[in-house]
Amino acid sequence: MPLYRPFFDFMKMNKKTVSVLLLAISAFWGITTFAQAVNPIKAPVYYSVADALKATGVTQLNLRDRHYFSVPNEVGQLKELRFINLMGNNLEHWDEPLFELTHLEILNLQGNTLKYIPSEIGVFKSLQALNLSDNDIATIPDEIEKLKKLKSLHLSENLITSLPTDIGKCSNLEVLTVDNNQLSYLPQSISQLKKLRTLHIGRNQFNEFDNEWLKLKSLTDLNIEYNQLRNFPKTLGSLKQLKTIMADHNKLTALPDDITKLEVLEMLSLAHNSLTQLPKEIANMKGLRTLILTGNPIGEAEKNRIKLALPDCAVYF
Amino acid sequence: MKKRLLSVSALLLSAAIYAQIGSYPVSKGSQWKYLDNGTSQDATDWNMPTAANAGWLSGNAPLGYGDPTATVISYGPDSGNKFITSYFYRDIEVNASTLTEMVEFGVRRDDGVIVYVNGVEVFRDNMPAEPTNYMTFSSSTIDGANEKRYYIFQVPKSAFTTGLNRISAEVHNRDGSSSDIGFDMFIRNTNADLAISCDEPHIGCFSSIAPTAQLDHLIIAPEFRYQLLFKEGENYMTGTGTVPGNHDFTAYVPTGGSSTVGHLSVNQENTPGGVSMLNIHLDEETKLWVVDDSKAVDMYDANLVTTSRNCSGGLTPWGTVITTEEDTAAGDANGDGYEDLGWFVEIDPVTASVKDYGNNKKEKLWALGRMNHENIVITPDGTTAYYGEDGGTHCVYKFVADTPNNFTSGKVYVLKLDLALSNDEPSSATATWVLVPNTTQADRNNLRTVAGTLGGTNFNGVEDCEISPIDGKIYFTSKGKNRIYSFRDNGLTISEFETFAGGMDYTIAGPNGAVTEPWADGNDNLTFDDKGNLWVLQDGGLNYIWVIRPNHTQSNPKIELFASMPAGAEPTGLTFTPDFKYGFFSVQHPNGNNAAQQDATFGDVTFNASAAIVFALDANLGAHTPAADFTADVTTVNEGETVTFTDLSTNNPTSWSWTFEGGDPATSTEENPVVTYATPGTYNVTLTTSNVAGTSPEVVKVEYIVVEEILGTENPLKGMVSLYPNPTEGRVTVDINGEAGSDVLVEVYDMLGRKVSETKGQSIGGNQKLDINLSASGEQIYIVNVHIGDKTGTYKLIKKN
Repeated sequence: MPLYRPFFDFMKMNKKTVSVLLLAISAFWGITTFAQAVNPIKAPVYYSVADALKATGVTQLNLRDRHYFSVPNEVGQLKELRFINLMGNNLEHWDEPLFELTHLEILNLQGNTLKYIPSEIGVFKSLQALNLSDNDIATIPDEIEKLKKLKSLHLSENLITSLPTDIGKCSNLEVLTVDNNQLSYLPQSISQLKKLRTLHIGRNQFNEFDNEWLKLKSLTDLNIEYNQLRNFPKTLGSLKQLKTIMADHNKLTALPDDITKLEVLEMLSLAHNSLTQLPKEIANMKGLRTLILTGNPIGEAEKNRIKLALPDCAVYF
Repeated sequence: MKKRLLSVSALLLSAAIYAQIGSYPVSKGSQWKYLDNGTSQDATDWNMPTAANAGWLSGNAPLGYGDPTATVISYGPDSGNKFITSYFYRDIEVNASTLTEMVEFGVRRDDGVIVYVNGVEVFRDNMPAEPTNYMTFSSSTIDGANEKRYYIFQVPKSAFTTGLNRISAEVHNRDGSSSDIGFDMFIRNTNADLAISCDEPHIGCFSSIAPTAQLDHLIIAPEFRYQLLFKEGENYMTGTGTVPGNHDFTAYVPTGGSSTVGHLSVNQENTPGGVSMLNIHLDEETKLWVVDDSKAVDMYDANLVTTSRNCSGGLTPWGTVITTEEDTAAGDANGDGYEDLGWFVEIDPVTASVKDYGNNKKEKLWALGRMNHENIVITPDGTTAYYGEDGGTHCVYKFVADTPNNFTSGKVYVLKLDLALSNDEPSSATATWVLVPNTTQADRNNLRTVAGTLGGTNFNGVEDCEISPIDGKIYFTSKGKNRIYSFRDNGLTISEFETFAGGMDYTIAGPNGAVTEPWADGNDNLTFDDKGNLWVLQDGGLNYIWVIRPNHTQSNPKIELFASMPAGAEPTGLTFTPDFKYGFFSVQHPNGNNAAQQDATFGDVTFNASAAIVFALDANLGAHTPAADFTADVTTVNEGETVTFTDLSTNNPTSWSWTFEGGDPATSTEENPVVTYATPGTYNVTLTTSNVAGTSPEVVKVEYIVVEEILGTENPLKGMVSLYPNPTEGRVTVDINGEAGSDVLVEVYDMLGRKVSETKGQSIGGNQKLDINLSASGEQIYIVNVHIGDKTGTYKLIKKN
């Protein structure tokens, strides 16, 4: 939730100005809160195209599980739509009516059979949340960089082998989930996502943890489980905001000492790797509350040392 | 010295033997002695309690090789020429007086088995008839799930003796190149008394519908009616907006334990998701449920952010309802440290609000962890919840609250089977609860991922968990494995894990005879009724509601078909009123072109959008055809008098059709008409009554009304004399209004013509009253002759006591 500062001093204004400003602020508030998530109590959500066409000012349309093989043409007439849910249909293509909806802020196409993202994706300049999980998407066009307002991008469970070179230009991105794909690298521009808090890239084909990722200074939640990582970069500790690292089911044989600088890290899962020991200064991880080490060849002496070093942490061997 | 040593070693030996003796009953996964060295026991007394069987090994069942087993036994040195027969026995102490007449043996055998009690064969299965020996192959090859199933046999208790008994089994392979063998066996008293009685009407008492493809309408067992309560697209009664679709968990929440007044909480499985809260009550007159209010629960404020894909849920013992978020899309829009989606959310049905746990804001139930939540069941003492994930880890979870009835803190465990499932059938009956961290926000956000790494067993789509009111065991559905599993929770471990139903075909006793129907895919929501019937709601193709009887076993199935959903729909979210007279479920996402059909209101409804309905035995829901009956305030009147009729029809008629032979009016549509009879005679009265359910059969009361002539209508004293009261209890007044100066004589005769009184006087030319007292006589009819001058009038007088 963004913090809204009281940037006007109402006391210094005349009544008319205040009311005009109040109106402007409430409109601003309305739009901004809208984008966080849909509120069906504040504005109606329509569940059929026919009903929506009969009404005016329709902003929210939910067409989940309608067995659609294509988006109904009439949807294109609902140009004021801010939210559309087409989850669980049988869409293989991005039908033309979609591109009429240029005010969309939330687009949910989860659970269809889309095979690509078209270059026209750039028309959704207001888009803040895009969910394309559980499709058959293999490629993503460079035009996705035009989604400057995009805050969350869900691409889990697709067939993606690479992200567009300029994904980093989606500079407002806070949540990026690309788990369960075929990625073995992320483009260098990923480091430009200065607001990125959540990065889920588990169940891919990563062999290494790119140093560029260390520039994701806002990152709090990293899930990289079920990959082929053999080590972390030496300066992992520079991701100082990290609260969660889920790195189970990799091939880690050792951890960099630097990891002990992650003082706010609460959860570290390293289960099912090939670790025999943890860094000497593990006791520095004062914030650590949960450490999962099951499925690692750690000897009894090292286990005891870890437990003693982390008295406030639940350690699972 | 030597002698003493001997006795010590004898003591040690007997102690060792004693330690191996088990007790009755024998549970799955027990320890068995076994011989796997390929030697024939055809000529030994190995299966007699007296045989020491030196050198035999022991291990926990299941025993075998080639599939997951607790104890791997040897097949010999040559994998192409394996030993044919392996031997197993277990000694148990039995008190024969505690056994049921028949004792139940459940044997898992791959491939064939011969079972003995104290050396006497009690049954053989998948084996040729005698003679058989060590080299005899099983009759047929067992494979797939059948290798793991327990086949039930009944053995008379007379096979056992009080004291030590040896239970033994020889397991025969199909041939020397078979890849696997397996053995386990349980022995217990039979549970014949689990069969439910249908002597009294009960919601679980019905006859199966015929197995069917989905048609364009709802089909429900013939003894039942249903009423549509709440449909997608309606306007909410409070607040703006229309009812969203995809009705899921449909929870009746009683008000103060009432079975006639409560709330109906309906999950809307959508994105955004939601919960609709209804106030409903039963109109005792019409026997129809009335929706008094409906509104959307606000789950969209800055603290909650949103909700999504509200699937099934659960009711708490403290009167709230829990909705579930099956969606775990990442994102923390309000920056509170908790991911926005993937939680249980508790709602107070009275305020239709998400609960505030003392932090001055609405909150989700963080402590139970984030996952693709689907369902929850809570023990009546409010301490423990069981739930499963549909997606992600697909595990079964347990939450144990720090404080009963408070789910804001507690421990979470994930179920880890001691042996992996094999062909979706249990390889062992035991499992362990593994503690999963849930202290920090990060723990809770990532709870399921950690549970998976800690070894939680993947059941491929845990759609619901329930607790049986009969045996206290936990039952849960695995949609991907098409099975309902059950187990007993012992705290940190579980036992008796088994397949309760599913994964096979069942014979349904339908109206057109027995039909074999596959269980097929999609067992989903579960609900027990108070008699232990397990109601199973199914999606994924068949879309039935099945009912499994409490005495069902996989080898002796007891399964009925209760309902089939209209085309395109699945049934969701069944709950009952506390008296188990009414059940509530939803018809989720039916096709738009289904046909109209009549519900309990006798109006047409069409399942062309998601709808919540109530169902009940026919007698408990909606109008029924009246049975006509009536009475009259008096059935014998004098000509010209009136009769008031009173309707006594049952089942609340709303219209009446009377016919009054000889009456005025001659017909009436009033409920309680008043009719005048002018002419002496005996008359029939006829009534039919109607309501929305139909018209009663016509009831005719023959010669019901007797209208009596005032004797001598040509009476010369007409207008001058009246007798009253008539009938009388004794005293009668003869009222004379005649000419003055005439002689007056009043004579009273009984029916035999005997004069019983005589009163004389003279008329006074005005209103004159003569009193007659007949109090002393019994009930009878008198003839009264009144003479005034030369005129005589005759009257019939009825004497009553």
